[in-house]
Amino acid sequence: MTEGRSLKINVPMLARVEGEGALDLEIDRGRLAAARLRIFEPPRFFEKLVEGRAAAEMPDLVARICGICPVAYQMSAVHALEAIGSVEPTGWVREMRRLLYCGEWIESHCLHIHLLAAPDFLGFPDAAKMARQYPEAVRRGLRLQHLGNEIIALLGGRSVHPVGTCIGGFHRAPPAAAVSALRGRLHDAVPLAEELVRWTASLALPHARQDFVSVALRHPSEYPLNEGRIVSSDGLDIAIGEYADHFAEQPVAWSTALYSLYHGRPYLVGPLARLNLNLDLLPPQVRRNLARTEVPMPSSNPYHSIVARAVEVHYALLEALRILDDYHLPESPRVATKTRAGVGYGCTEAPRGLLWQRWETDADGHVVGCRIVPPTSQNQARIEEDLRLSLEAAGLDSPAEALRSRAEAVIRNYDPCISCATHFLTLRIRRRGGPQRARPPEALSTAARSAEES
Amino acid sequence: MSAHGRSEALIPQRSARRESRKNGDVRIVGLGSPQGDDRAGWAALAELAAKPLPACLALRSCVTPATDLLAAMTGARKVVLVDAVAGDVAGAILRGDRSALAASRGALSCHGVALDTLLDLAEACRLLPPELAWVAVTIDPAATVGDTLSAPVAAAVPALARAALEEALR
Repeated sequence: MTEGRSLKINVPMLARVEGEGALDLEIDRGRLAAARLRIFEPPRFFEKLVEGRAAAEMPDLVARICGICPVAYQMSAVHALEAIGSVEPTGWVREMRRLLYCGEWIESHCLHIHLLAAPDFLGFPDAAKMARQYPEAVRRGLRLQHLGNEIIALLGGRSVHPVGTCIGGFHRAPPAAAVSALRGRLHDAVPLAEELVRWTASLALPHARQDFVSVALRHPSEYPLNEGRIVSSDGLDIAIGEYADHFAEQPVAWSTALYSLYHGRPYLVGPLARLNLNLDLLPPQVRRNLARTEVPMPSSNPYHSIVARAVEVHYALLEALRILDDYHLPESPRVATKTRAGVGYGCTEAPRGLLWQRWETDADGHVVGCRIVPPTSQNQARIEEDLRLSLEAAGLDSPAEALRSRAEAVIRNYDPCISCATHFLTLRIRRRGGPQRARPPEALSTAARSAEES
Repeated sequence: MSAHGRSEALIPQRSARRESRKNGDVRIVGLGSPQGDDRAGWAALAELAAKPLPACLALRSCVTPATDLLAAMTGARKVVLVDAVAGDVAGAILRGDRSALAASRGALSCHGVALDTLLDLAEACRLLPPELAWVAVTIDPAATVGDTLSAPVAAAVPALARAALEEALR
């Protein structure tokens, strides 16, 4: 091995974005000695704010934890709180909750694919510059995203911080006319979702093979959204109430966020993990469309996450149509609830991965405590592991700016809530030992800007 | 006198052009979120919705960044954006065009995605309307909690609505 430079890079906390990211790199004689990622975790404050408040307030409150995935927080919370009171929602409520989640998956995944991730793979600094050469692709993505927002608004009253969800079901049932109109627009968009899968698969995605454990929900008969057992690619199969027996959060000296580890090691949650563990539960139409690409699934390449997201957009669109094809007005959009002292668990598949919650209430229905483990913090250790592998592969003697750009792209691939801005990461590099030698940065994307839009 | 009548008196020479506009040709888009003074754009829209408006004028409210805004603008000949912007003193009314938006990069934000970035995206996707204007009310960024407007911003909503209507009918 050639003698490389050594330096230490320290990064202060970032502002200006939805969430904050910071990264410390230590490069010692050409090898990465340390890569420490800090992500700010809003739910940690939230867990204290809700103590003493009525459980019935929680659906509206938890929706404000995240502007991109409010439904996920609502769904995990209502399932946990309903478990405490032994509340059994109707089949209609169950289907509408799946529909609501489909809307969020479509909206969140499309935002990530088109505004955040694709520019990395096509060699553009931001989506606006990418859109000048790929206007059709971006318009398609925005149209799909808008449909996701429409689904959320149909049931939630609005697409940001929706207010339609309550413990036991929904405050109101959508009118049949609105359902019919939306159904027509969703139907017309199916070819767009199919094209999206093929487009993401055609991107010049880096070749990588990493060894990681995938963790997701698994349901006996459907691609997981709201229900299922927690399974892993190394054989775990547990009820959601047993989560804490296998996944431990621990503090680390360099981060305000807790790290989640599975049996002491990093793990992956999110679309790629879900697809790796539930490929057989996708409808044949979705599997056929995926098979036409050259992207193998299950995959150990983290950069295939963008394809996994596109596949889930396709699935969510078809699932939404299936539910709306059978739509009828219910006798009541919700069931009665009762307060009780107890503990309940909720675990659903947020767009970014497993969102696990534990809630405890008193006999009057007030929150005694809650614990919320979001997918971004669960992926934090995995992201650090990927950073280590990816930056070493890219070349640690690259200039600091090139390392920062590559690190941002690696992190953005996991779609954490901090990735709302093009340059969200403040990077400090400390190098020590060995000669200083800079080499040209290796581009993440091998696709030139002259690549034809497919 | 309604805001509509007052606007016509201010710009009588443009009334013939207004008559030739199609329904919904001009849109006033209120941007905002449920958080406190950040709902000022919606409040202005509610103010306008209570008044008789010309047929060419349509009102839209946007909750999310990116798609909802771009969808609200698509097909319009002119769009007036109405929003809240951080300022030193709450309640001041600001106006401008696209160039003013670029100059205020970072001050106007659609919830994490800068407004001028969204408009760059719209332009790149050929979704930008031929005419674009914006009006805003200054707010204290700390006043974006709760479900109600602060006193100075609530007092400024009628003026914000009038400014939006004037820009739309200019």
